Amino acid sequence: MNLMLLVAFLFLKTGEKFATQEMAGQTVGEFTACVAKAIGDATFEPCVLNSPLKAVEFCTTKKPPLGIVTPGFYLAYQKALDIEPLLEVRRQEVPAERYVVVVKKTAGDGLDALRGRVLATTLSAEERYITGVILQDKVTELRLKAVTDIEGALFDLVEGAKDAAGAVLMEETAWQIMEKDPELGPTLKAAYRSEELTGALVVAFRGNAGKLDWCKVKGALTSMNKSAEGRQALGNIRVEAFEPVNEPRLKKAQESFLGKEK
Amino acid sequence: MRIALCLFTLALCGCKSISSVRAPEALAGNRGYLYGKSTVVPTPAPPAAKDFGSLIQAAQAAASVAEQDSQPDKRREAAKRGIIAARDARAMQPDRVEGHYWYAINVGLLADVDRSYGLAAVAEMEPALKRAGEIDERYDYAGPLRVLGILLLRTPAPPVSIGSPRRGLRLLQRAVELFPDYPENYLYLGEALREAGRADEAKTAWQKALALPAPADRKLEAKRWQQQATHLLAGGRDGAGGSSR
Repeated sequence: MNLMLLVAFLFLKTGEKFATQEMAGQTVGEFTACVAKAIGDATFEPCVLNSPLKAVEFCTTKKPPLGIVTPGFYLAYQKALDIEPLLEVRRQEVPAERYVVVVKKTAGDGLDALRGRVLATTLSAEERYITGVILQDKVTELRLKAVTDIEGALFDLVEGAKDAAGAVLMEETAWQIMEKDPELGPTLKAAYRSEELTGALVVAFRGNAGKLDWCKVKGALTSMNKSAEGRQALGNIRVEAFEPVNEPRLKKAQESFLGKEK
Repeated sequence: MRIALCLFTLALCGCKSISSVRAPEALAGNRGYLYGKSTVVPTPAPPAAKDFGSLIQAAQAAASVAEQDSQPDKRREAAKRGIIAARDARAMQPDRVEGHYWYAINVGLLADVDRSYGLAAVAEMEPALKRAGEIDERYDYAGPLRVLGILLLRTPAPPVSIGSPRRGLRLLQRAVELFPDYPENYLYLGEALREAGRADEAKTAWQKALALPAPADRKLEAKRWQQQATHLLAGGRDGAGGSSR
């Protein structure tokens, strides 16, 4: 008789207010059910979180063998949690994972535009990833302001709200949509554009593997977009495909994160 | 009639095609409906045998069942019936608000009962509500503004979905401006204010929702609004009483 493994599966999307178990649990559960079906001998218990600290707590208590996490989380906790990247996520309609720093058109260009300003971001819980990897340690004395509504931060900037940040860090794909907005586009500009960065990572928590077969998991995930059912499950979480990790890009991010590329 | 339209997770959810909800050609008189897997968008032919008024009535009645029935299957099927009726009405009289509005409502209800329609639902609801608002923003006590406002409030921002709390707030402020004595609009205005970090103003809005008498045609719904306002004032989130049309 085959025993089914019941394993925890962490989903971390830092700073995304809708990335909670209450809001996204059902959809993510449908995705993990599809993966479990392909693997055949495991059932997943997913947990959707938007805070790295809560994710660490989850890892400590629930011992998940698998997760889909931000690259910032991976870089910060790879040693402490014994994490190995298995695959990289390619999102739907996101051709490249880049960030931009948006400022008023009257501000300067490049990262000089950030000097002395407060930067609004949803990623404030991953400060080292922002400063080291996204901004390449080119900005000193950076102050971050945690926001959950990036568009609201842009409006505050345009309207000169009294507690507005002086710049907004956001995904390039989101900016490409918002810059077309007649209220926002004419007065704002992207002063800085990051390099293409690593996407979200499917990771293995090696110490928690138990009897889970990583090869089977990788096979199941990479072949998901080959079936209608798999594509549906991927589409539901806005993923185009799971792909091999771009090792040089991740290595570069790691060096930047550790401050070795200065 | 009130429509429980829990939009929390719509945009994080599935993408089954709404357009594939269709009436089978073989069944005359809209006695049944099918859900097909096709993702091809069929352009419904203007129905000849039904009048606009009865289609809208059917869409409203279906929405009521889709909201209130205790059985998910019945809710799902009712929402599909409502979609078909509203779509036919919209095709028959595209310059009338009702078809667009009830189409959006039933699509939202379908997504509410079957989350796998979520992504597609948002894509269908937004233009339908915008069009409804262009035609008559006052319809159903500023319903097009209210529902679109909630949709913008409760969906993730681009590129994932269409969420825009700031625009949602503006729409809900406009709804309250148009109907300052209609309690339901204050419930959602309060939610938008809370999300904007304006907690005191949010409380004021919920207190207003609690204090205002319901219009004569909304007595049945008023109890639920009051429960919801009480829940929100006590610090609860929207889920417990979350509803809107």
